[in-house]
Amino acid sequence: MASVVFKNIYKRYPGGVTAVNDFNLEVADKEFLVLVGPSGCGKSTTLRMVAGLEEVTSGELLIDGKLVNDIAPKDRDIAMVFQNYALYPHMSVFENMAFGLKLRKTPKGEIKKRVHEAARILEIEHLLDRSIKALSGGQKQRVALGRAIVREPKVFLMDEPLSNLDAKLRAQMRTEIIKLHQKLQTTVIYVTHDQVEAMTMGSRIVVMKDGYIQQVETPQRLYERPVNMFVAGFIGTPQMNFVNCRVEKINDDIFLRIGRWTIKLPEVKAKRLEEGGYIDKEVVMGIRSEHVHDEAMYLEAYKDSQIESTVEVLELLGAESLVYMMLEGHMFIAKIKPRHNIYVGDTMRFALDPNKIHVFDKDTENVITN
Amino acid sequence: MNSSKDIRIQLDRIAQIINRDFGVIDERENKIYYSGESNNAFNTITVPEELKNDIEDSDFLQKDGYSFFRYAGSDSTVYLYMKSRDNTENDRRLLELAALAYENKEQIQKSAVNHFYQSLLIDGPKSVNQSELTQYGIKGEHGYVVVNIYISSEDYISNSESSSITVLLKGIFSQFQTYKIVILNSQKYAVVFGINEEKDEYEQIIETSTTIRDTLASELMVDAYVSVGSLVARLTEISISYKDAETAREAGLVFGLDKECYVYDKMGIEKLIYGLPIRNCVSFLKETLGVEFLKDKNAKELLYTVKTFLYNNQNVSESARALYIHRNTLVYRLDKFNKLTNLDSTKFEEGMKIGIALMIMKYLEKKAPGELEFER
Ligand SMILES: Nc1ncnc2c1ncn2[C@@H]1O[C@H](COP(=O)(O)OP(=O)(O)O)[C@@H](O)[C@H]1O
Ligand SMILES: [Mg+2]
Repeated sequence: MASVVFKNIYKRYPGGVTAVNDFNLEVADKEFLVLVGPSGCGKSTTLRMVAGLEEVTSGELLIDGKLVNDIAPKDRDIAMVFQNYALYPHMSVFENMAFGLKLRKTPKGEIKKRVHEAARILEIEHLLDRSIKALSGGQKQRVALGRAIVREPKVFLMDEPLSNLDAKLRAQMRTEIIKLHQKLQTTVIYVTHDQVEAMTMGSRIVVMKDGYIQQVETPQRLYERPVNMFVAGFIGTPQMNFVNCRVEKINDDIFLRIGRWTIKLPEVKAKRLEEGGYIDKEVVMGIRSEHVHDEAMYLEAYKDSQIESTVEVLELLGAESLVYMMLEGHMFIAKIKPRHNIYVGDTMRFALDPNKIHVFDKDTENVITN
Repeated sequence: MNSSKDIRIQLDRIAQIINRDFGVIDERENKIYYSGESNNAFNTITVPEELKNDIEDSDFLQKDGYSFFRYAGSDSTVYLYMKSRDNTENDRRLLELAALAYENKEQIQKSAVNHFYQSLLIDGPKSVNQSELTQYGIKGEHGYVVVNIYISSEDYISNSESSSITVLLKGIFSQFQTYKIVILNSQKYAVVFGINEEKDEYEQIIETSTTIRDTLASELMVDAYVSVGSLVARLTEISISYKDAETAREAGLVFGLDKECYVYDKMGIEKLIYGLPIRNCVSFLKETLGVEFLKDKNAKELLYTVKTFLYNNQNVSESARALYIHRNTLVYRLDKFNKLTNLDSTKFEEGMKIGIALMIMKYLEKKAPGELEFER
């Protein structure tokens, strides 16, 4: 069990790519932390530096309070699970899990003890004598996890371990890994490019882009209070709607003007815009599709923040429907309760929940008010 | 029997000295050796499951009138057996002695085989003779391919034995029938495959090779680069496959291709650009993008934007989403690029030029970074 601390960590690869920029983070003991971001943003590089597979260019890396920059990977007390792992097809489950320990010349009795303990935790004790070839996908995945568990590490590092699985198994294994974390009570750093995975698994999430940390937050706060348009757009499906608009002050109220529509902002948000000097300036409004409503109740409640548009595409998802429209040249999506009487080409009226509106600076793309 | 003549002579002598018939079976149940004119029952012996199963701590077992001994050598396990006669301890000692003598001879043979493949891979067919080829060659009815493994963790190379890497490679490739693991030096390994199945074997080798990097990292905590050479027809041509694997790795690192495994036969256009004279590359960049643009401090960001746009089939909405920027920002940047370079990324021919220029820039960044400094 251990904390992991990053202090001003940089990674520059020979040839000039700076993969990680001024990375600062404290991962608490026993925490399940997720690193998420698009491909190439530096997640794997960050994880591989913790493992010692990549050298830290500058900065300090501490595991359990100890500076590890110059400590060999095998002496760091960590275990890794990756996407492209291989199991040894001609060995039993037991031998697969014992293999790494055997290579490190661990005494036989100790190997036996650790493998049985890991198998018990993973609920695969009954499979120990089976051949790998006879296992299902989920069982194989557990053996791969078992291989890491038998090392009894202080920190688990997982780099997209579920990416090669089909959707159903992936969802199942997410839950398994969370349960495993609770049983093992060990620090886990988990890397994924999939925001859904990040949101369902992490107790805290680090969003990265181009080698920089964008935001570190709990899933809910990340969703509700993104710091910039990147995070706002990256987290959540469908993607948050972004519309260019103009801030206008009419009497004492602040409105966002989108073509012929105006959206009245609640007091707190209005104050931020006014204080920031955004009156009569262009900004970007962001609103998630589930906060765009077509029901009478909302149309009644939010009289001062409504828009109208023509349905271009209708996507029926069962429990909900997605209505695709164009709003002042921007794609705009509403997530509504399924109804039978909507057709492509219809003009529909929507109320935007003004409390759920985000406003971003058009140049810096940073949030002005959430 | 699978053993070579040398080993057989050695084992025959051991049988004479211990004055008892005995046999050797490998991990995959192949009969490596049995001595004398042993009867049928003796030849058809199989290793008892209790002994095979590593969970058991003992390496000796007597069963149905036979004594069995499991011997874990440096990179493989063998089983020796004979008719039980003396007390347990004596039988055990005799088998252990026989195992040591076998292992010793096998190591000598192994290093001869390793040397043969090393020469064949690096120095080519002229460096080996016909009798070595017959003796050590592996069969590949449908060709041969070489997989290179390059260990990049320095602390590992200086502190560990190569045997753990060969053991691990054996484990990973155990589903394949015909291959040789060659130790080139403490940093470089090659696996030579003979392809004998008509279907998919080459593809399977590639697929399995993509697991080597992650498996080495999680089991041995080492970082490695893996690359696969071209398919060649004859064993005497494996040096070509080896060189192609080297090229694939070098080019893969330059172009930042999929890092798990660099496959020569699947490199695409990068294969063409890799190896172009630096002079031509610089000239092409100046011609296409212009020195003014290359000097601009926003050049990198603009190029990345245009690249994403091209890779998303010139679709504005999708590119904006992939870049996580607003579509207006994207349109603005594309416009700026157009003004600076006079290249319209929405036109096919100009888009193609930009695409090639992007690859060449990446190539120069690694190969000759100084050439890209257009300032001053
Ligand atoms: N060995 C390497 N040499 C040079 N550049 C690399 C190397 N490994 C990764 N990179 C670059 O570093 C950046 C981050 O890569 P990576 O950490 O793998 O991202 P992610 O895991 O988020 O997809 C990318 O631009 C990638 O091309
Ligand atoms: Mg990655």
